[in-house]
Amino acid sequence: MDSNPESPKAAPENTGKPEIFLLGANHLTASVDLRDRLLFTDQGMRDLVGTLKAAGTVDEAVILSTCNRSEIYGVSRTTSSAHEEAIRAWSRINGIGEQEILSHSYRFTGREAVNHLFRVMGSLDSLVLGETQILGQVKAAYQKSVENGWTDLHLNHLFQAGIHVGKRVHHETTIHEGAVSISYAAVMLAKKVLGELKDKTVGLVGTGEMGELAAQHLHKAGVSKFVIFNRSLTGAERLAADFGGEIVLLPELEKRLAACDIVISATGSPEVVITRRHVEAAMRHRGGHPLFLIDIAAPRDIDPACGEVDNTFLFSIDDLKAIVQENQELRRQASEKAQAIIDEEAAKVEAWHQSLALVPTIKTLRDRYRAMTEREIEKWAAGQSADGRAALEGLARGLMNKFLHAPTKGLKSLGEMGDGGRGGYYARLLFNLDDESQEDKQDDQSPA
Amino acid sequence: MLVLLQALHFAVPLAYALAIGVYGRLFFTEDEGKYDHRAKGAFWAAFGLHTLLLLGLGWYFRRCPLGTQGEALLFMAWMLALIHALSELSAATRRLGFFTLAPIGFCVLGSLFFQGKDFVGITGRPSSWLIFHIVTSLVSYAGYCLAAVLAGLYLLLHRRLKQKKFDLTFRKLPPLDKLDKLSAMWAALGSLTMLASSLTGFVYVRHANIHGMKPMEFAIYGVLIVFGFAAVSRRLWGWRGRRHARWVILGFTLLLLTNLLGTHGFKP
Repeated sequence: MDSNPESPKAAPENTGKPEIFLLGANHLTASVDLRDRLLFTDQGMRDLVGTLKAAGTVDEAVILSTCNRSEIYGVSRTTSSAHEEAIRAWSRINGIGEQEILSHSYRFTGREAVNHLFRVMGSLDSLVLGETQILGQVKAAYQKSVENGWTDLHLNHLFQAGIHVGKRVHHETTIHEGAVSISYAAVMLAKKVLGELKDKTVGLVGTGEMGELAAQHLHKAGVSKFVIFNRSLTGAERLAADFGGEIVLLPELEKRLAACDIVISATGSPEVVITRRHVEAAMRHRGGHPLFLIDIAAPRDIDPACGEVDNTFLFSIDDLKAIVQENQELRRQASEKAQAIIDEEAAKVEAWHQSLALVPTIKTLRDRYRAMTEREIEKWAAGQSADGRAALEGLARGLMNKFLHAPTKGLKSLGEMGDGGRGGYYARLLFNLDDESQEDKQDDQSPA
Repeated sequence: MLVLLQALHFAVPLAYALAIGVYGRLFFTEDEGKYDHRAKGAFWAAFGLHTLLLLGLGWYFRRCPLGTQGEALLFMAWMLALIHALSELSAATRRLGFFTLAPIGFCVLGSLFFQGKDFVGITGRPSSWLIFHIVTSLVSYAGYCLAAVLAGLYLLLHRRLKQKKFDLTFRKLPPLDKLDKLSAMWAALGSLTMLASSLTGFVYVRHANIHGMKPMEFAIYGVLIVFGFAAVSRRLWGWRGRRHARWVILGFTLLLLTNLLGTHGFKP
């Protein structure tokens, strides 16, 4: 299952049992504009859940709303009604036509809904495969629902399992590793050459957008010393203010290059800005420390011969693209392993969900035998000392637990295998659980 | 007891072989999470057995376990393992285990074949000067060996970066800067201990009235000069990175040749 718009959207027939359902729209089904309009405010979430609960179609709900997706997870005994009700409420609250929501959303129930949530939490359904923010966003959405009292048994179990899936995918696969944007790839490459970047000085040549993006990543990586080389002060002042850098006019570049550990060049100049002579002169003053050069301009700003200078490392935008492509392929390969984890965990959730069908039977069975045991204890413990009574209680309760262990385990297994209905029927028949009067009839033995 | 020690002696190379195998998987797989803890566990198990063996040998023979060439190799391997452990703890270089444990495996395996070969008469002449001389020289060998391995890896990664090959080697090796600094650090340790070893050796031969020098002793000074030049040029002229790595590898090659070509020529 995936959230591809081509995927089947029709929900199955109502089953009468509590079932997980999902209604949502994401970057694959809706445009940025529509996604913005589909976003839920806090008040919108409260209105939606209030409406669904008041209609009696939804027992539990979690609403996830991020810039790339808005999704309503719920538990209902009538999932198709719940889907319809949710679309109506969403349409009313956000002021969007029902038909528009219908044609740009996906609707899943049961295993498909579980699988979708796990793909979201494992970041397989993200715009950037393997991004790490989504798990935190889903956790926050779930936490909000818990605080508002919108969740209960089913969604609590589902989202706890989803968090476990997210952690497993993160720890057991490499889906989140490697830079998948050009600007971040530049930072990773700089780290590969220079190690820690905190005490390094970055020279930004030009005020291009790519250079600014790379500078933002470097800033996040801890770099605090920036030198902005530009032909004029215009444009450079904003960058200098953003990163706390010093502005140096381009003719001064040759003198100041030696002070930079990383140089990112992104000017619109038709000619080469940094020549081999500049670099050789700079390296003479750098005490053998490496110089890392990134040329992301077209046409090139840095003479390719600069890369031949000892301890100088020059990379172009094509090199960065090659790294990004390599990493994307690695993430795609890792996503296959992540999907296997998701399938495994979704099967567990499904088994747990099916086992719930036998919970009332198991509870009746244990309650019946517990009551019977207590009555027998009262009957046989009369006149016994405190020690004697304690021993009798221990014996009776111990035997009851041992006798019921195998049938309880068997019933749970039947439930997990999806055979709960038949298992429950035979259990009620064998243990005579439907006959209320049976409790008294079985007490026909008295102490001697 | 001796049988137990011999069994342990066979177990140590096997344990290191296992650890090298796990470190190999750690380096060559993309699925690192699976092998990270296993590699750590396998190394510490091998290192534990190794330590136990050296302690056992010392206790059984009532002397420093440096009596035979096999024991000397075991001790040098132990020093290498200790340096590897310190590297891992200080610089998160577990991915390099496959390369740094390889010389350890080679030494412990070699120790099996030289068990009966007398080392430098330590059993008959237990001078503390001699013991200090041997220990410091083995520490220096270990330091130089690790420095050379790291220098080799530096050159490998440097080549990958210059050729713009962003393959597994590029992804797995630590930053160039870290490889360069670690290599320089272990080379410096090797040089300091080698200097200490030379001085104590000099004092020992004077005390024991031993004379006669073979080319090996002179060659050792050559090794010291090469490593000393690498350190000085790094400091004074900024010969870092590739140049430093080449000098370290040259020095270590000279050290290997020195030991392959001859032994000590001191005679009482």
